[in-house]
Amino acid sequence: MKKFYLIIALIVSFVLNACSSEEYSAEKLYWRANQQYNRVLSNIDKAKPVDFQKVIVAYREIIVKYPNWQNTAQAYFNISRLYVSQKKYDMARSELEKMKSNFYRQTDICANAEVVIALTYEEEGRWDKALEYLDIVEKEYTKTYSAFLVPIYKMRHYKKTGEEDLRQKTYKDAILKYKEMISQSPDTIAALAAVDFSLAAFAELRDKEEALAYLDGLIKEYPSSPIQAKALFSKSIIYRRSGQPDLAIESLEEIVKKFVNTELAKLAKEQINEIKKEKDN
Amino acid sequence: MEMRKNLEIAKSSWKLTFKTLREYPRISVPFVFSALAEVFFLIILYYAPRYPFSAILAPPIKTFVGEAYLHYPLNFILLPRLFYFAKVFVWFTMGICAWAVSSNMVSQVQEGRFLPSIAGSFNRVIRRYPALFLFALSIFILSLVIFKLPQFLVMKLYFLPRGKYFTLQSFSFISFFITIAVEALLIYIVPSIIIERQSFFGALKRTWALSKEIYMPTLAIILIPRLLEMGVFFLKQKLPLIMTKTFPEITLWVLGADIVVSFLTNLIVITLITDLFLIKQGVEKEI
Repeated sequence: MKKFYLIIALIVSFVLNACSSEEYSAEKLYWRANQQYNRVLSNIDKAKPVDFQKVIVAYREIIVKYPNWQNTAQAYFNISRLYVSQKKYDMARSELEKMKSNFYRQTDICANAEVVIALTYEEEGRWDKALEYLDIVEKEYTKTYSAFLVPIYKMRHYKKTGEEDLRQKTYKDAILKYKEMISQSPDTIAALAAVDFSLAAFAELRDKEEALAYLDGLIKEYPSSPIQAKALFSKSIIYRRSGQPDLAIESLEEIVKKFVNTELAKLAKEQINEIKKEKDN
Repeated sequence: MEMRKNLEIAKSSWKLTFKTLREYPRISVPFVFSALAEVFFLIILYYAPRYPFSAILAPPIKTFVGEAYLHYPLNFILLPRLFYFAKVFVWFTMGICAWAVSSNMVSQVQEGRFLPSIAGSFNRVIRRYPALFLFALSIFILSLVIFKLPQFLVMKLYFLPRGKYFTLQSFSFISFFITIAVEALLIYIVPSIIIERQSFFGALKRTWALSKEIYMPTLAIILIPRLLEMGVFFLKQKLPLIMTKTFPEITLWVLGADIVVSFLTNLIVITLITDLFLIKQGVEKEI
C-alpha cells in the first residue's frame, strides 16, 4: 500500500513539474529582481556596491535565461539605471548597447535606449554627445514615443543651463512639430498623444495662457472630433489645477453637450461631480 | 441556574466528542476526502496560468477579470477568489455529504457499534441528498446575504461623508459572527435528516424546536472551533497586504491553512452537534 501511495505521489509531482511555463518562470524572477531593485533605489544612500551587484545579478539571470522575453529589455534598462546611480556611465551605456543589439527589431525599445544613453551623457556633463544621440532618435526613430519626447528633454536641459534662447527655439519647433502631427492624422491615437506632448511643452515653460489659447485653437479647428474632446478635458485639468473649478466645470459641460450619450460625456459628468464635491469640501 | 445547566451540557458534549474522535478516527475520513478535493482544486487553480491547465482556465479568466491576472504575481491576487468558487462547489457536493456521513457514523458509535461504517453511512446519505442539498443551499444563501448585503449597502452609501460608517472589513467580521449565530440555529437539520430521517422541512421544524431549548449551548459549542477559523479569515482579508510585505506564494500557505482549519473545525462541530443531538434525543425518550 505504501508503495502505491509513493508511486501516486511521484506521478502527481511529475505531472505538476511538467506544467511549467517559461513565461511564468521569467515573471517570477523578474518580480523578485524588481523587489530588490526597488529596495536598493528607495534606500540608495545607504546601499553598498554589493547590494547593487546582487540586483544586477538577478536581472542578469533573466537576460541569460530568457533573452527574447518582452520584459528582458526592461531588465537591461534597470541594470543601466543601477550603473548610473553608481556613476558608472560607460557600463550603463554598454548595457544599453547590448540591449539595442538584442532588440534591434523593436524600434520603440531602441529609441528609448538611445534617449537613456543621451541622458547618461548629459549627467556626465557631455551635452554635445547627448545631443548627438537625441538627434539620432529624432531622425531615425521618427514615429516613436521617445522621438516626441526629445524636445522636452532638450528644453529641460536648456532650463538647467540657463540657455533661454535655445529653450524658446526648441519649444517653438516642438509645438510646430506636434501641430503638424495632429493635422496629418487628427483621428489617430498618435494625434491625441501629440496634444499631451504639446501640453508637456507648455508645462515646461509654465505658460498657462499660451496652453489655453493653443487648446482653444484645437477646439475650433477640429469640431466634433476626439481632438476637441481631448482639448476640452485638458482645459478642465488646467483650470482645476490652477484653482478655477467653475471654469473647469464649464469645459466639461461643453463635452457633455457636444458628445451626447457617449462614454466621453459619461466621464465628463463623473468629473463634474468630483469637482463639485471638492468645492463643497 | 439555566446558564449552569447549559454549561454542563456543553461540557459533556465536548468530552464525549473528544472521546469519540480519539477512539474512532475513521469518523474524520469523509472530511479527509472533502479536504483532498479542496487541495486538488487549489493545485489546479494555482497552475491555471500554465499549460496544460491554461488551455481550459485561461480564456474565462481573461474574459471575466483580465489578462493581467494570468501573470505573476497578480495570479495570486485572484487565487483566493477562484478558490472560493471551488470551495462552494465542494460544499454542495462532497462537503455536505461529509457532514452527513460523519454525523451518521457518530450516531452509529453512540448506538454501540464497534466499527462505524463509511459505506453504509454514505449509502444512507446519498438517498437523503436532496434534503441535504436544500440545507447546503440555505446555508450558502444566508451566508451570502449576511456577508454581501452590508458590503453592498456600504458601497451604495460610499459617497456620503466618510468616517460615519464602519469600514468594509469591520462589516465582514460582524457578518462572520452573525453567520455563526445563524449556523447554530440551523445546524440540527443535518442530524435530523440523517438520524431521524426527516424531510428538509420536517428537519427545519425539529431544529427550530431544539433551538428554543438548547440554542445557547449550541452557540457556545460552535463558537470555540469557529473562532479558529476567524484567524484564517483575518489572514485572508489581509492577504494583499501580507503578499506585498512577504512574497506572493504566501497566498498558497494561507489557503492551505484554510483547508486544514476548515477540516478540523467542521469535523469537531459535526461530532459535537451530533453528540448533543443524541443526548437531547435520549433525554426526550426518557421523558
